[in-house]
Amino acid sequence: MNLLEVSDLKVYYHTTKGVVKAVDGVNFIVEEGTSVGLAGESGCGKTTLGLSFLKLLPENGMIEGGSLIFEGDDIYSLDEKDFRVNVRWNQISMIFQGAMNALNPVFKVEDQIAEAIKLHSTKTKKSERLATARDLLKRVDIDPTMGRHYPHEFSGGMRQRAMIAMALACDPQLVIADEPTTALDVIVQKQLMDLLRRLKAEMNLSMVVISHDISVLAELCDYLNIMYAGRIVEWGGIEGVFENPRHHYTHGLISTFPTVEDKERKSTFEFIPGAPPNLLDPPLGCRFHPRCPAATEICRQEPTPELREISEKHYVACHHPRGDLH
Amino acid sequence: MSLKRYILKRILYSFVLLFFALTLNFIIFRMAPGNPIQIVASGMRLEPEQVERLIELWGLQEPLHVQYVRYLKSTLTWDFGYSYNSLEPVGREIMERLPNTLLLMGVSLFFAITFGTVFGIYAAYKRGSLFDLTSVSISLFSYALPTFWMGLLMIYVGGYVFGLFPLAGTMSRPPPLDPIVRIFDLAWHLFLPGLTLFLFQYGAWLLMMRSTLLEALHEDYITTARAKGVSERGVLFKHAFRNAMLPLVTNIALQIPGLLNGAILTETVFSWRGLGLYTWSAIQFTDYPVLQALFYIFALVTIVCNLIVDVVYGYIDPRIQY
Repeated sequence: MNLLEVSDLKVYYHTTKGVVKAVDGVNFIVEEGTSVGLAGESGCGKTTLGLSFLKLLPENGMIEGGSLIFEGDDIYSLDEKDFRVNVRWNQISMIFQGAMNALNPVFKVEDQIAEAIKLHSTKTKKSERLATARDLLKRVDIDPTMGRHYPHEFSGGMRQRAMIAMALACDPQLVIADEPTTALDVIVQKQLMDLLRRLKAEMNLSMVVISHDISVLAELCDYLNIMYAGRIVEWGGIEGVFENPRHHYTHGLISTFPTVEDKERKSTFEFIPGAPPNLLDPPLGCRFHPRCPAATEICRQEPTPELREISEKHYVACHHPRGDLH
Repeated sequence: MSLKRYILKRILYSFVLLFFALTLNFIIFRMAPGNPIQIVASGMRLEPEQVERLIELWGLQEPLHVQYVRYLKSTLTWDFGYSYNSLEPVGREIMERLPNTLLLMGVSLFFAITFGTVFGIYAAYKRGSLFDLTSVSISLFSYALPTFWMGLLMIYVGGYVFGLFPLAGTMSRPPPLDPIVRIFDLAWHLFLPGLTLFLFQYGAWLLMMRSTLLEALHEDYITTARAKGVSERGVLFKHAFRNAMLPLVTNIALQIPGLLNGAILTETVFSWRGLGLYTWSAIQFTDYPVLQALFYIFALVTIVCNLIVDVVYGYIDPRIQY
């Protein structure tokens, strides 16, 4: 069963220069108990998509169309208060890039975790909430007594762990992790990925992991969505997408990462020519066509190609998909 | 470093600072143009022998370093000598005027902080709205107006054109005997100078509250709070305000000495019998003992305010380490 089902979502930013179509007709599915990756370059709309699940968009960001079905309910039709009390953190929580400034600097860490519990189960006692907060810290391998300290007394990795502990405070069904390991060194990244994998298995969590680093997603996810210029251009099982990318953008994105296993590719880096399009005025036709090696006349014309199933559970939005390697 | 040691260190620094301020006060007035003896002598048409007697009485014939030591001693013992102008003890004259200044400053500061903070929060919350736009425009306007000009305008409109408020003074003459009538009379006189000083500070408070709050509202932890399901009110008053408060506290300390400057001009315009007016007349007379005493008190207020804020800051911002 699908836990989360997003259909034809459109999120636009209204700026003084015009309308930025950050998310423009996205379909997105999370099956229960799976973790789904969302990858793409900076500015492709992946963070906007993540924030729109919780309706956390900046003031000028508007959800212009589409629906979000969570556990069979259309949660976009809930009123503000219902959404805030029942959906946010209780059903869907979010791991922000906690190494930076995601924790409030003037409150103790355990109080910030306890606050999340208080907001969604008001009948608990303060002592119970703090005890739960400390348990959660223990669960992410932080000494529970550290909860009495402030975020600035934590290292970057610890802050990220505390952020994860906070995200689990209300037993959510879905956790969205936006760049959970960015800005941390590789050792800490590895520890955090192990932690997320362990928690996912222990708590049967469903997750959406957003990152520009597809190697992180390869470690954590069952499915992978590739986003380009506000649209999903390819999605499928992680192995299928990685080993057999059908969209030229996906292929380019994967090729930009060095590998230690493939001896032939070891010495060369490929790159995608050009720059991501301006979302104020995206190119007509397939949005990738100005940078695509396989572009033809049909790619330059409207309409933009839709996702189609190219093999089982592997979808691609391309007129000339790359050949099947199998 | 422990908090105790930090406070001790700060107190020690404050004393050093005060000593420098004391020395500067002594030098400045002796370097300033104008000779107190001449002013008094020409005003009272004194004979040459009387002038010499006066110089001796005030100790101005002595070398500067002797005068300096005597000045230090008299200031530190809180005995400021006698005014050259009124010949009254300076300490007593100051104590007479201090309550009036504290009243004027206190009332205007209290209302400026209260209204500035409340409307500043509301303007930040409703950013871009008509309320935000009007309150920012009004604040910029009132903040930019010089107090003396605003004061004259108040007297003209409130006192002269409409005749609602007295043109000058702290109390009617003779002062009413009934204590309740006396309080009302004082409040009636206080209204215009109080309003002037209030407007002078109110704009600054509103603009600062608004901008620090807006800055805090754009931080990542605000998005985290919203994601957790904190209500807009909770986001504003708990998560954002608690962070925006920190620069405000510093500003109270910086505003109080600045307020003294505003008080000098405002009190002079309204003939409000406080330390500001006293300063003004002492400058006219090159009244060394009075000026030295007043500037010593102003320096003391500034240094003490800064000391208090430094200590308080350590309590409200957990990131400050001693």
